[in-house]
Amino acid sequence: MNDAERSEEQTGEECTGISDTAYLSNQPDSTELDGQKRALAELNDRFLRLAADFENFKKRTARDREMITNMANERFAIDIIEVLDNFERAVKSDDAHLREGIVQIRQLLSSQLQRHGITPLDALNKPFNPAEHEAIAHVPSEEKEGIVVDEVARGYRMHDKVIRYAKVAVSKGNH
Amino acid sequence: MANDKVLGIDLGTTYSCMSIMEAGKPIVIPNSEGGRTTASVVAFTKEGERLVGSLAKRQAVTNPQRTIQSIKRKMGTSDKIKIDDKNYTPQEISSMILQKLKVDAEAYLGEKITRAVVTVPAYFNDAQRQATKDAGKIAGLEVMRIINEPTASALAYGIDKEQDATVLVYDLGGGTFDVSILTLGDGVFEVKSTAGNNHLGGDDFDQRVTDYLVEEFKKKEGIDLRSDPYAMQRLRDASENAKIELSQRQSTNINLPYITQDKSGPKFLNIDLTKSKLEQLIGDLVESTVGPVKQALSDAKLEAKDIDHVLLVGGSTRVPLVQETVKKLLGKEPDKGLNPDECVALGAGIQGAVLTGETKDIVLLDVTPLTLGIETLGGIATKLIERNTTIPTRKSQIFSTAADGQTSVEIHVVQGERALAKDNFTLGKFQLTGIPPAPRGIPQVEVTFDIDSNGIIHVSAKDLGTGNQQNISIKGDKKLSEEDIKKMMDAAKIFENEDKQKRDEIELHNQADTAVFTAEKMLKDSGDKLEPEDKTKVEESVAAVKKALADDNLDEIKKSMEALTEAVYAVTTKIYQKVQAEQAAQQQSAGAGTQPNPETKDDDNVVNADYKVKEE
Repeated sequence: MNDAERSEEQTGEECTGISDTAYLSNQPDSTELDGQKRALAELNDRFLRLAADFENFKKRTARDREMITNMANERFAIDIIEVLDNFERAVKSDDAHLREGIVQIRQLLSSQLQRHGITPLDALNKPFNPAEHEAIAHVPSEEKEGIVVDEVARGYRMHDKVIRYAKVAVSKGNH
Repeated sequence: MANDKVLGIDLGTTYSCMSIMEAGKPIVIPNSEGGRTTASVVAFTKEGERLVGSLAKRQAVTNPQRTIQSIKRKMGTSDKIKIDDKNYTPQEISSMILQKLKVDAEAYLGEKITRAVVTVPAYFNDAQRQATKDAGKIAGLEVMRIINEPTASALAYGIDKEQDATVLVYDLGGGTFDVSILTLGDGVFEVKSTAGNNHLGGDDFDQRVTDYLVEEFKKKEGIDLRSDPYAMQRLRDASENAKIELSQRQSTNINLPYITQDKSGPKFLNIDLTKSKLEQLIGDLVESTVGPVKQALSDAKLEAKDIDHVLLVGGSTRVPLVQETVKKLLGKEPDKGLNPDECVALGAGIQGAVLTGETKDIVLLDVTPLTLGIETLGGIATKLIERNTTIPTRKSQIFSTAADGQTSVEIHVVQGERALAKDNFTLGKFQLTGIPPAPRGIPQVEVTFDIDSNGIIHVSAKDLGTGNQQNISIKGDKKLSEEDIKKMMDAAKIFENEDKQKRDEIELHNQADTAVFTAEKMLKDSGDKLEPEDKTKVEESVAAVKKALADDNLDEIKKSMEALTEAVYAVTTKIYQKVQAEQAAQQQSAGAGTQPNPETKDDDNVVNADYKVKEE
């Protein structure tokens, strides 16, 4: 399976073979040319094989990456399923404790997210920043112009990257 | 200059995309935020900062006067965009988008980019093209060539490699629709006609879905969500997602809890949307693209049957109804395989490489059209070289014999995607003889497939024990036609489940067979070391598997094989325990090293070991 080794071996053998012949037959020109041609063909074959190997390597890496991306969610999914389990318990339980249950499940979900590096962004009452926020409304307000006065959907960061921008309303000032 | 790459840029109305040629293939370069496309939006903040792309888009609502969208529509006009006291030309605004792409590409590639190929719609006039070129210049890019978007798509699909062809490009983006007809002759594309609608696209589809949801909610709850901007925002996002999902599924659920509330409490929106309902909602919009296609055909004095290739470009062509409409209209399956959002940029990247002569350095390597392998026990086609492997390539695998005393193996070389050898194409057969008699599984036969650069397949089988070798070369004239390949792929798809089942059955048979063989061998080799009741149990289990195999009862084979494996494990565990105890005793008596486990030093062990030594 070791292509490089194999062709190296062959090249080595043939080179010695050729120079010997050239010496004995005393016809350096044509034999040398033949030898060169053969060496070139060998080299070309090695080059083509290397190029093909590289192509195949790229294909395999792409396939591997796809598989890794598909399975990367697995651990996350397991944690989310636990949250779903609790929702199912909540639905079966009596209405009186529903709120308490939901509050606790929410806490669970939020800590599961945190375990995976997903944390909420603080947007309210901060200056609007398009690197973290998406403005969906520009409203008159007592707040200074450019301050986030309402949050329609919270933003989230996963590790260092904002994965969801906070959808916010931004103050126009009160003029 | 060798490394001086040329950036291919699709400078779009709503989104732009860039690509570069890498090792013979165009790749999309993500922007600094990681996006594969960049919003064609420029904004100037009140603090004088310039924003480009998604940043600019997200602040547009707060800063509408200083946010510029769809500047492409103004290219080539003398319109000026006034921001504070400064007037900007459309090419200056476009240059800001190009500059962001340039800077992001440089950061990604780690090298300077000075040259680009930029695409424009086929209908752009000279002034519009010149303005685009100027935009590049302002951004610090030498625009080596302006090419037509449909031409770029045709390049991305590799159509330029054909002798001559007539191509129809149907480009339905977020907000624009273009049809172009091109002809290829002598390696040059010529635009025959163009048509379209400058204000039609996927955004209109989303709007239809949103309108529908608003109406449905009103019918049910009596509340008009249009007066609630927050609810509308959630609805719009959900509409787009639903549209996307319905390209893959027959129905989707739009679930927006607490969408709004009235005196009676919170309201929930929960509506199922089927694919056919979506098609009903957007049907007239899709239908309105038919006119321009017909117009383009008649302007080019062509008929549908004259079109050799139909290319679908733009994200909205992912919608199945769009694809069906185009297919019905032109009676032709569109070319597939490239991301419709990216193929214009990919074509621009290819053009860039062609201009620098980079494509001349590319080694064109073939791929194997179908999987190659050999027939193994039970008629299974065992893969050695998977389809689409780039050649020349070589692969070896070691096989063994299936029966005791087997002295020859037949190498049956097959090609195809089916699970069983008999359903694939036979390329050749040969025998490797002279294998010294040995129990099954012991001889090692190395089978090597080597496909050289001419596509000739050399198959060899070597008995690693004796060094005996046999081989066969299968010439390229056995090459399959496109049609054969397609037939094989189709068959593989149709019979996928059936094949898998057959294969599993055969493998189960083989496994059971091996289990029986191993158990019998163990009985033969170390039967005398077993407790009589253990031995009987294994023997009975073996008989059960044999009976199940003879009856060809799959469930029974599986069950009895599991029972057999369990029985064998139980026995082998006992044997190993004995051996370990023996070794422990030996080590102790030899006084070799310290015993990590003080328990092994106790008297019982010693006695045990003594007993075993006697037994030997």
